[in-house]
Amino acid sequence: MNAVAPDDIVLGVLTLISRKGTAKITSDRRKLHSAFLVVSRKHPDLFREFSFRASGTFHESDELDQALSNLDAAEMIKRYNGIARYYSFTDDLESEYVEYTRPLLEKAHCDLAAMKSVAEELNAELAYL
Amino acid sequence: MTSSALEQLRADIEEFAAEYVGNAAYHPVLPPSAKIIHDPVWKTIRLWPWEVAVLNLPLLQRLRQISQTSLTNYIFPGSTHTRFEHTLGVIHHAQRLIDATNDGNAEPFSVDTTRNLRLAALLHDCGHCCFSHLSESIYEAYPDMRAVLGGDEYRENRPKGHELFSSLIVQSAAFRKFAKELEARYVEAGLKIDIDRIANWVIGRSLPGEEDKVFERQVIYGPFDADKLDYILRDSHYSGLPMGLDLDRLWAACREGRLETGERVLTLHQASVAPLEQILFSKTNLFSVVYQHPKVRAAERMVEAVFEHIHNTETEEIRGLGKTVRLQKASDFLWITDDVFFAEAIRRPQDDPVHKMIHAIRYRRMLVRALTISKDTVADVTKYRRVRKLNNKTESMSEEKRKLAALICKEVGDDRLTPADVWIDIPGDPSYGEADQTYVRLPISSGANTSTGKDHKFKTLSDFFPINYWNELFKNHRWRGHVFCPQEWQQKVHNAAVKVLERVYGVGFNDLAGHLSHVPVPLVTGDCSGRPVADGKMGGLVAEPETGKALTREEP
Repeated sequence: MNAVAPDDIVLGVLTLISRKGTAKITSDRRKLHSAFLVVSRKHPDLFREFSFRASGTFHESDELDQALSNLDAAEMIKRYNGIARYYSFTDDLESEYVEYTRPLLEKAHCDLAAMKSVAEELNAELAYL
Repeated sequence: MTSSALEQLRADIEEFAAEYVGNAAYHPVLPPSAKIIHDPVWKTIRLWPWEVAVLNLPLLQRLRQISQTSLTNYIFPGSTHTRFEHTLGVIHHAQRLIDATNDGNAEPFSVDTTRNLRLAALLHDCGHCCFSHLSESIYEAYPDMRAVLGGDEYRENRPKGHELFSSLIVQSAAFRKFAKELEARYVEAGLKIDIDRIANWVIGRSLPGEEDKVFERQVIYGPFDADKLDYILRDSHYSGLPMGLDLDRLWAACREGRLETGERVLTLHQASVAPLEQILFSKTNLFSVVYQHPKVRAAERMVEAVFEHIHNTETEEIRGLGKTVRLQKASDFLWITDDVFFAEAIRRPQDDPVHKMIHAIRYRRMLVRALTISKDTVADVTKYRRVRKLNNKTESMSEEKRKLAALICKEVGDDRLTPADVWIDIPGDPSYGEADQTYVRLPISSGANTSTGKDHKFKTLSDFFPINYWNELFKNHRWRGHVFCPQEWQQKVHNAAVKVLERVYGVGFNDLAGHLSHVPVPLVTGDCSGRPVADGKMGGLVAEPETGKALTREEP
């Protein structure tokens, strides 16, 4: 029970981005999906449950869409901004990571050092200034 | 493992295609002339003679026995339309899209490309199996399909299961041979069937060297492709949901355009985005009202129970059309259509479990809701995600839902209730990715800066209307997950499900979770804020079995 889902990977990465002091990341799907595609190629083990489709003009991942949707539904990230250009992080993201997700990832022997490196890279790519 | 999985799947598809395309006993006489077919939604649909020949194959005729929207007709009685009718609608809209685009500029679609795109439209769903996307969601979790989709060939552009089947069927030896026969028969028309292009288009790919011609594959695999234009209108029409759509405006605005990246895509004019807004809004409505109707979802889980039983029982099999299968491989489902599924009950005695399960569906003795899971029914919205993440379509999440069903049965503590009776149903959210893939032309002086074409600048459709907010509202107020069970077990399963979900995920439920499911006495578990709960569990996280301590929480 309590298996790791793509949600948990995204939650972990976003928490580590938020710990860098970044309050918002872009919600531009082209940028988001393209950036996750790049890191997923560098860390295939961490992103082994993610798949990408290249039928449009950029790669898209159903798993990333669903993970962001679930985090949004649980109010850990929010897009209630005038032009819906960014996701802002709420305190629940950090608390859920500490209480639930990180122990889960550790139990599943997920590479948290790799996740930290992913967060570094995505922070530079996606931070909304 | 991966390449051998693909080789095995190709071999299985060859066997299927040999029967449904290559079997000379079923070969139709190749028609001498074009035909017109009348469709209740789009009226007159014209087919070229070679298209009629393809349509006459058992491969396409079997689509008459595959419902477009699985079991929605048990709730929306008019919703009896099939993949066959949809296929005709797609070829109709493919031509409309091509004509509209050619009307606007230098006719980017050649005669050969148009003919092959029409064939791709005709064949795009030929790999669908019984109950369409319902069986797809089951066989996509099979190890052989996962190995193929995760392998080198498809990792970079992962198709859906039925798209993969369609593509492989088109590439089969039997279909190639049939295509040659068609070219020979219609030589005076100059017919040239490009198998490789068709096989790539149906999975949303272009041939190497043609990657910039995105507009071609977008006719059948794009943000406003012929598939979408047909299914949204057709599903609305047959389910009885009134819907208005100004398609003429869409045709008038459709052009091919070149992005800064060099890719040539289908575009719309800024003044004509309203039809697409109508389409996406209707898609939201269809999800909310039809596809995710609780009774539809319950009926689908009942079909899943039948397939799970056959898959898990060594002595079980199902008699398909042309082959008896044990449902151990993804391609086994190709041999089964909806009518074959229901006929399986007839050849079995009345006390047979499969007979009983299928007849419960046939005579609409549906499972009922024992628990409603939504943002309104949980005590803690943060922990709600722990349950909601079960909508991830991964093997581990599929397994977890079945383990939860087993735990709920154990909690009820009565041997007469088995996991086959209990289903955790957590639907995915509708995707609106097409809004970010649809390019809208703006006059050059308007100041748009997303992408610049030669004569226009482009923005994406998501800039023009608040699709994100529709999504938020849908998720917050209309999305529902459920636990389903037989009517007679409703109260006991409700109580057990509430306890199990609290124990496993730490999520509590208010009385609405029971009331929305019409449970006589809802069980409320309010405070689940991370404090220790029963059975040595900690805030929903299972403690280390050896020590009983909560799992470590060190910095990464």
